[in-house]
Amino acid sequence: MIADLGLMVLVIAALSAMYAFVMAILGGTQRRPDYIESARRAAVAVMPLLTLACLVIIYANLVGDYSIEYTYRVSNNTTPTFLRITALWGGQNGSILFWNWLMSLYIFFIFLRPWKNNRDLLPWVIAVSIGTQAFFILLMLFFANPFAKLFVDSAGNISAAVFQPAGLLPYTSPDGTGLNPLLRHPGMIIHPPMLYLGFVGLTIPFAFAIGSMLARNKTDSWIRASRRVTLIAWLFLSMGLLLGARWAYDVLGWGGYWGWDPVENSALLPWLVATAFLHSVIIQEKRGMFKVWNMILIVLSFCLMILGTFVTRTGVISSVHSFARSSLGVPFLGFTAFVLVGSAVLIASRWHLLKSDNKLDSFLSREAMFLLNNFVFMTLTFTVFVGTYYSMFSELITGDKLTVGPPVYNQLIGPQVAVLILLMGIGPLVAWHKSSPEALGKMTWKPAVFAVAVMVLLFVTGVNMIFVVIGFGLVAFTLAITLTEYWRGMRARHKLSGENYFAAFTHLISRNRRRYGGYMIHLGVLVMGIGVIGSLNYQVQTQRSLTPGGTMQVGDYTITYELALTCDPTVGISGDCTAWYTDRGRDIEVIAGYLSVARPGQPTVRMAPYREIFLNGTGELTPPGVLSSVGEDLYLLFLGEQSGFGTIKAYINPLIQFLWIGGIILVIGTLVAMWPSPLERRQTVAAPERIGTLKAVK
Amino acid sequence: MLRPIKLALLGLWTAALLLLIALTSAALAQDTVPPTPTPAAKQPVTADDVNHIAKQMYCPVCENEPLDVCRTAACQQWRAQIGQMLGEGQSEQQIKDYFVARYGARVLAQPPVEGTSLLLYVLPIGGLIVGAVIVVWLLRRLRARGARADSPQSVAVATRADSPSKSTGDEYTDRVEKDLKNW
Repeated sequence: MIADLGLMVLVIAALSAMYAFVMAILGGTQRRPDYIESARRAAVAVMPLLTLACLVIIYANLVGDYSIEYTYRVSNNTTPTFLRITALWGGQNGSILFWNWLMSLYIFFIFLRPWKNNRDLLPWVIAVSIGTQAFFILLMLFFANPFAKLFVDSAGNISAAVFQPAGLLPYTSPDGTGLNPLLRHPGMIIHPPMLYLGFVGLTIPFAFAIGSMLARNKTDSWIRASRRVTLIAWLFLSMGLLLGARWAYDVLGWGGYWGWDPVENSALLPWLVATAFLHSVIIQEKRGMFKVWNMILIVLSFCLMILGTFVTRTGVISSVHSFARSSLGVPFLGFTAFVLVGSAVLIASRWHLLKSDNKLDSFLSREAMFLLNNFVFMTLTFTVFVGTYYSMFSELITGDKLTVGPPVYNQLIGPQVAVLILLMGIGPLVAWHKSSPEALGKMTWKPAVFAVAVMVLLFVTGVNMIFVVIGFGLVAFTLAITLTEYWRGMRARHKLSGENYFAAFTHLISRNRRRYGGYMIHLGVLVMGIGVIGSLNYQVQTQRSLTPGGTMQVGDYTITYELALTCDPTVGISGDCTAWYTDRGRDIEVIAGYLSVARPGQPTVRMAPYREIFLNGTGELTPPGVLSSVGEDLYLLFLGEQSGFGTIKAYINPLIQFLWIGGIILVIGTLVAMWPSPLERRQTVAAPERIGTLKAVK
Repeated sequence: MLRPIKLALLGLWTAALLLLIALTSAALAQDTVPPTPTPAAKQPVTADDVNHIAKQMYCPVCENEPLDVCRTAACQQWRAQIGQMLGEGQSEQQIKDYFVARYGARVLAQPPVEGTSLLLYVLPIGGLIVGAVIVVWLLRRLRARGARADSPQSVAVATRADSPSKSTGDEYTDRVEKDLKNW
């Protein structure tokens, strides 16, 4: 019965969203503030309604209401409470509801208070964002309804439907099938919300961009108004990708963190375009150039986001045939096509409003550097796009299916990333308007010497892969430049105001959050780069089958196989096995391999990588045991036991910790860049005087 | 006055792009070259030898999971077969060819640079070149438009930016201050 409540709430939410959409358009075209106000309130009302719908699902999961199809699929009687809550986004229909709820959250906070500024944009921003929301609520209602119920026919066949079909009786299953065991890891619980928050967040800048064109607004107010939301979305998208990589590393057990799998790629694509957008809007804000280009970028990132949602939610990419089979396929693609065509027509019809205010003064200018940066980001996007969708197209055209694996991506993408890192170093040194090669030379020769020194040192110490040497050299070059930027700013402040270096550093950042936060993001990317180059090129892997007491050697580590412990929950859980069943359901067989790891000069460590076999027949998993140090990770897998032999796979992942450390730096940098600063408002008024006093001190 | 610098920069960028293309093609070429030593027939075949080859392959049962990782029965069988073929003294290439002949090019992590899959390599590189042409064209156009509309104001800006400052320290201080004001 609770399902009917949920369904009703969803219908009201859809009506509210559609009402807001219509009223916003009427209010915008007829210039009726009362209509617009009504639309705003209806848009805000969607969030509480969807919250209620989410709570209904969570309640159904908690009490185990197996008359609801969704609960039946993602929960069962042994599922722990915590996982019953997170199961809200553990299956397709629930995750689309959750996705919708997150979008309504953004809309709620954007329109909660009546706007003081940009009132001309308001109706159109409401129309675009709530229109998108309405589409996805309707999509959910008709094609992926989380409140579908189970029914049984006279022959005992169970089916699911939203309304009771003729001749069928309602059915309540005694137990559910249980959450996909892959999704029971903490990483998978937090990774989807982050990624979705990033995904749906892109709707807001898109709505501002389209709204600005619909309102025939000539200014850049849409960029300024949506800047913080864009950064928030970007931050969540980055965190979603990083947590996904971490989850893959910690749980999937293949020794890596990024497999260039289509689902990963489709989340990376909007990130790439959004990153290009974050860079190129700076030119528009500072110089009033590239306005059309920014519109194109935001439309593209929105479309790739929609496509990414579709791909990650339905898993259609593996084959054209499943693409056609999925009932969501046609509406999703139709919506994407509508957005693409509609935006193109809109941009074309508003071309005169998007004229550049300025010209390019020089080829060696910050503007040109940003353009080059965008160029590389776009080729990267194109490369990943082709790689991701190629196998689908090739199947469609030739009937031949192809696999596009990591080697292809590494070759095509490596050089592009190298150019991007070079630009990351040089770009910020090039002045706006125009710069001279001499000035640039003066600022880059020391970092260049440093980079060459690093390269020579690497070469001498036996690093003989040319691409690795070039890669580390570029990272060293850009790292040196970026750190020097901080140092120069600090020194200038120190000299001018007599502050100590620490105070100079914090003031430098707080006065220029956006700039120095941006540099911090660059530093994070560079540190991640060290991890990627190291782990990609110097991973060692070896596999042995040992009898208890047997040892194997990998790198400096001596690994001794002690014993295997098999826990079959169908027989009963007791003794040592109880420890293995605290935070997971009881529908998994665990085979743990107890190992001891010895290293010269270090105490012996005991580790227990294990193998999970899902009793519902959906597969198995080998979560690793990881021994981390700054230089490298020892990554151990226990592949199972057969006739007294335990099979152990050991990887050494050099420098991989830098990937995670860099990720954390990137997140902190983004927070610095977007944190509202009290100075930001004052600065516009007070800036001239402050500069004046600084000069006077000097 | 600006002409030589402009030309030099254009040259620089062309060089950078050519480097990019060269690196890409070099990378493409490099990875196809290294032949792995075939284990001598007498040495026992280890799991590592099998994994080395399996890492570069995908079995149709495991979407998006390399053969050395996939744990389905079918993939285990494939690995066993690779081990057996290695034991018979077959080379890495022979083994891959065998699987390609039976199951198609999809078993390879890296499709061969030929036939339909050629497009996979041609498209990104083509996109790169087309994009580069557009960027150069756009830059020239933006620049040309600027040159025609050389207003006194923009000249003033240019000269200000041109004028060398007295010392490096001061130049930087000025820049920081200017940026502080502008950001």
